[in-house]
Amino acid sequence: MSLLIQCPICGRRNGYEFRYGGEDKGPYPDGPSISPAQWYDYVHANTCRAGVVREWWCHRQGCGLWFTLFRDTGTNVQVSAPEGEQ
Amino acid sequence: MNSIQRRSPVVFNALEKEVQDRDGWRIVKKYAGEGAGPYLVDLSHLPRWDLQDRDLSAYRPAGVPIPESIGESRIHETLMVNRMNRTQATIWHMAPNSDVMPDEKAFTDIRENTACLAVLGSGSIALSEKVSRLDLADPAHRTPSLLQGPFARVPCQVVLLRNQTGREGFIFMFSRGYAGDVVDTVLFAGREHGLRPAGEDRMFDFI
Amino acid sequence: MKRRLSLPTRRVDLQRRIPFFYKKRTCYGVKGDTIATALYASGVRIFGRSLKYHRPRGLYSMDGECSNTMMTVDGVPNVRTETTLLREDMVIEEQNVLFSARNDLLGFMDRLDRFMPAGFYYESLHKPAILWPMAAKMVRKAAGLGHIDPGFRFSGICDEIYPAADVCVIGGGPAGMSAALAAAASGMRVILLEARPWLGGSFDYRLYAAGETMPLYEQAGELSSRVASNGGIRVFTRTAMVGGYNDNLVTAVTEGTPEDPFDYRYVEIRTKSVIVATGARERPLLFENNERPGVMQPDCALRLARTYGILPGRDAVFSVGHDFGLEAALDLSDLGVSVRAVADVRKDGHDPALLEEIHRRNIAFFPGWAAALAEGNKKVNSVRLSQIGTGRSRAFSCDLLAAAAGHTPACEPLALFCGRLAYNETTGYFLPGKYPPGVFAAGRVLGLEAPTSIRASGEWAGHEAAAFCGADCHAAAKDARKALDGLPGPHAGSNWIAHPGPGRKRFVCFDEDVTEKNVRQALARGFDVPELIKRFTAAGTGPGQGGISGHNLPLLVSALTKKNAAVPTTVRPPLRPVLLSAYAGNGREMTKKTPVHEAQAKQGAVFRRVGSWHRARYFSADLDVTEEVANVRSNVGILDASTLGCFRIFGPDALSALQRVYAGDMSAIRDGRIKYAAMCNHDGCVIDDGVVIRTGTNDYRFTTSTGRAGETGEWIRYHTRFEKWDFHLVNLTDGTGVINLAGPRARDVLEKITDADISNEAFSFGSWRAFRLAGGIPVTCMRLGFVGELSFELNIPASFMQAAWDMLLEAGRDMALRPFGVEAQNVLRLEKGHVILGQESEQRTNLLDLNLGFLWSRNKDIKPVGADALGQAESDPNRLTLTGIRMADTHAVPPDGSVIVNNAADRRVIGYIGTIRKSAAVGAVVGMALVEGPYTREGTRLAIYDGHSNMNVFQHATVVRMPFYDPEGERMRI
Repeated sequence: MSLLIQCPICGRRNGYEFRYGGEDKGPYPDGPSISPAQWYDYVHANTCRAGVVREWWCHRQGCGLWFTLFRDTGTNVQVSAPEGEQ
Repeated sequence: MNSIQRRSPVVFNALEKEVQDRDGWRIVKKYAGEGAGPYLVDLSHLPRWDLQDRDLSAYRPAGVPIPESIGESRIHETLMVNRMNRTQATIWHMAPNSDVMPDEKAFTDIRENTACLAVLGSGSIALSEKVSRLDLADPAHRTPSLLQGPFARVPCQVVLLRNQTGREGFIFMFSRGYAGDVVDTVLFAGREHGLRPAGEDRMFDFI
Repeated sequence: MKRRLSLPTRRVDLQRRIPFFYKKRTCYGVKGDTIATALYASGVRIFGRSLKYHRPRGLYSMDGECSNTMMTVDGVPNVRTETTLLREDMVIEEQNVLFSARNDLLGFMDRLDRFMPAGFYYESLHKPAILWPMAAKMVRKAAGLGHIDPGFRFSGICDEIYPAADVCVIGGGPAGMSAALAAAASGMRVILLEARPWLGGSFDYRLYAAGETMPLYEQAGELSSRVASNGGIRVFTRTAMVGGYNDNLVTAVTEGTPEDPFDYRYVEIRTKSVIVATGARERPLLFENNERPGVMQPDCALRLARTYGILPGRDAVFSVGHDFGLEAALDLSDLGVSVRAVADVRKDGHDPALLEEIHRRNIAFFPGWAAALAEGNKKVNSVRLSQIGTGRSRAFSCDLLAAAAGHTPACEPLALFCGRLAYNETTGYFLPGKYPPGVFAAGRVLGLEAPTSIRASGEWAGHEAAAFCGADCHAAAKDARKALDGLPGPHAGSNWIAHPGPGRKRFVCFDEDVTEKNVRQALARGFDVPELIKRFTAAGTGPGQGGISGHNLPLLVSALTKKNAAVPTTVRPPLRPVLLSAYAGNGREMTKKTPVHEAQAKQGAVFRRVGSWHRARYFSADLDVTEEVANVRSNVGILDASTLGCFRIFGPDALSALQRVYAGDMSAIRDGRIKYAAMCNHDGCVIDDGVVIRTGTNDYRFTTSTGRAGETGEWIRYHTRFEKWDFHLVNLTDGTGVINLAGPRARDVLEKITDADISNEAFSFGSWRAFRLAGGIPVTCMRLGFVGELSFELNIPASFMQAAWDMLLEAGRDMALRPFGVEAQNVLRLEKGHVILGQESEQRTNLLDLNLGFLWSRNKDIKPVGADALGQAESDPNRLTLTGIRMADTHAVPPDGSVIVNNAADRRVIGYIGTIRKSAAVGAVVGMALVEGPYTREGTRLAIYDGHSNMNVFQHATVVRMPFYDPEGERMRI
């Protein structure tokens, strides 16, 4: 409950103001139609890594922006981007 | 039927002392026993516009330019313009005037969608701590400035004010349907600070 | 009992008497008393009986560390009387007693301990199984603390506050106050939390200080007046910290006084930096009958005298392990207690000045000795001291035994912020190995005892915290560190707990009646770490939250096993018992009301919550809403549908955004026509439906269901987040009042209040028009047919809604126009076979399952969200599919959600009912269900579990064609 999230517009806010939007897996796979396996991987397969994960969050009770951030799932604290990932 | 009455979602359980009819709205100018502040004032009947465009720099609603930095508010006479994000601003009127919303696609009239309340006078910032985790007391805030976040348990736009004589206050806008519960919550929280419902005149006095 | 009048440390106002009721008689305390001190002053020594053995229990500590002094106050059980201020006319009752605490008829339980070893509750009385319900009842009657009255309603006022700070200091003693002052000196916003009603901590009631010129209580007074006059420090007294979380979130609860506008206030502080200065408490000494009334901690005895003006006893024996214990013995002796003997577990290392004072007063002093046994049936009347290692012993008669093994840190807040604590060999304290950024500790919690060191460590922590927050005070922090390093460091403590001895009643945990013997039993059973022993014996799981046992349990386990290092058990919030009402704060549930809420309430509406809204459900006591339904079918009704979501979307890429989220092709919307559309998720499952209209170039309006409105903006932005599309959304939901005027006479009513041409020729089914009602009310009107009759859905600006509602009622007065609620709508649309998402569908129901495949555009260029999944699902014939059913019985209505099986013999579950109602129009009970594909053929017989009664009784239904009513849809097109 105590997670603080840095909203790019509103600054650091209480985690309750945000909606979690899942791991950042990039855009939906392109093409006129995709295979069931591709669809499954995109929609349901997550890394569930214990460590730093890039995620989508929405400042639903504030400015409404969707943005990505890095969170350490082990400590539940937002962290800065790991090197090489910006 | 000529006299169609328009209604604010905000109803105060207080004795009205001076009432005015304006464009179908029944507006309370003064309540009995308003006390010495802080005051809770209903501004829902005043026009509010939403402005959205990829490039806001070209717009001059009622002659006022849009503030450039996000979170900045600008007051021009009785018009307040709040920059919400890269592509959006809100324009709040703080007094009745004849401004007609510009006939441009980028504008949407949001007066009907929202309720708007002002809390004015000393004690208002102390009171805000009881209904929100937004840190209105942060000395780093400039006035006026816009905060977007939960206030009185519902998502709000809050504009922090300080008038020329240094009196503090804030105006907040939220979804109209919540008006009853928000008024309840704020009045309950403000009891110990002496918060009382007050008429529209208190807003004019403040600015 | 006469109280001391002239003490400068006294915190009670003896002139202001406060009456209260105890055991049906009136007693008096004074202003400033806690319930416990008022009772103690009134001569009460036995406060209640213990959980399991019904042993008499009395005042032992002063900050609510155990359940000994919990009582029922004004009907609220388990009130911690040590920390609760006395109020006028409080009604105070004893707990867990049969007859009275003094003469408890269940007192014999104490002799049955042999039959109740550790884990007894888990293992005994379960076999034979038939015995258990009876045994459980008996155990529950005999054991436990307060009694909960199911009819009780908490009447107090709860409040909440969310202050923000740069630095939050927990603990308002000398270290905390010094820290707050130092941080505030750098311009920080400081919050200082103190659980007691005043600042001062351990200095508040102490005189003695080696090498100090000013008595400690005067130092406390001087510090607290500096704090009070410092504008940068906000002080919260009577505010105990209860939680500490990630990113330095601190939660606390303030207990109100009669002068406060609340009884409890939840305090949540978001701070950049935290300083823990919670000090130390005394570590209990284990010996036989170590919790007998009359045994208390030296600190408790001293505070009774110094703070409350109550002499704790006439003749006292002290058994201590720390200099503070000696100090308390001396001070109490000077205040008039006859100190018979002082035993100290330490053979040496005492403060020589204190020893000299003890000798000067001719008090018998026994270094290397400790209490072994407290005697006395209900209260202590004598104590046996014995020498450690030799067994030599001596008895002293007394009415007070002040006993403690030493100090132990009040380190629970540190555990919350820093994680697991480790045993520190020097101090014998449990302290963090490392501190997370921004968390600091100061004062006695670190083992500092010298007053100068305590204050200096506070100053150092205050400067460090300010520097962490960005203040330019690194030099000050460095200087403070240097000053601190030059002062006495942490004291040497001991981990000594008790003589090894055979006693059966040496209590490790008072709350749960756990003895040293129980710990041995647990060890013998193979539970070899404190965390497991805690669970098996329940030690530390009571309301005191390990306040008594928390540190002794790991030390004892380590001593008994001789192999494990002492590891404390996990500390979790709340650190003190908190009423759920206090957590709920002012407890308001925010609900939206429509512009005609009050009007409908006056017309008798019963509301229910739908999404974030209150909606009118019924307008009569008839839950079958027969009349409301019939009136819409034969005359005309109005429904307030303002809760439906309504949005404007515009901009060059508005259409692209709509194409992305709606399953259908939105480019085909014709001017003036309404497009019914559905949104799916990536699984092809339907999440929302509504209508879309085009109001101008690149300008659209669309509606959503009531429950979905709040998330729709997020949904659209989420599914376009990788695009650089230029579109804008405005949520018009709350500003758009909606009245559905429906019924065969709807046009007759509407014609009376508008000049617009609303004939079927000019304004046909499935189209929309903008016009004005009388008086100039602007409306956007849609001809839709959700309820299956001629209907006009009027979208009206919210501020005009009341006027429009009244106008319609007036215009329809002679046509029997009446409002109807969502339950009537539910029946009406059911008869038409129209689904409500969430009633006929659940998370796994896709668009095809609902027979809404026609809403899906197979245009590969658009490819809306969910298209791939729908493509995959299309070829599966076994999916649960929306099916109309008709009950064989014309009266019995199974509940919504009833399970459908293939037949009464096999009982294989093949689906469930979405909605089912008695339909007057059809003359039968009809419903919509989700049923496996092979069972959806018309005429198939289905068996339905009767949820109301026996699981072996089935009702029967037949699959029928939908819609049930007006299958050609003529009535809504007139």
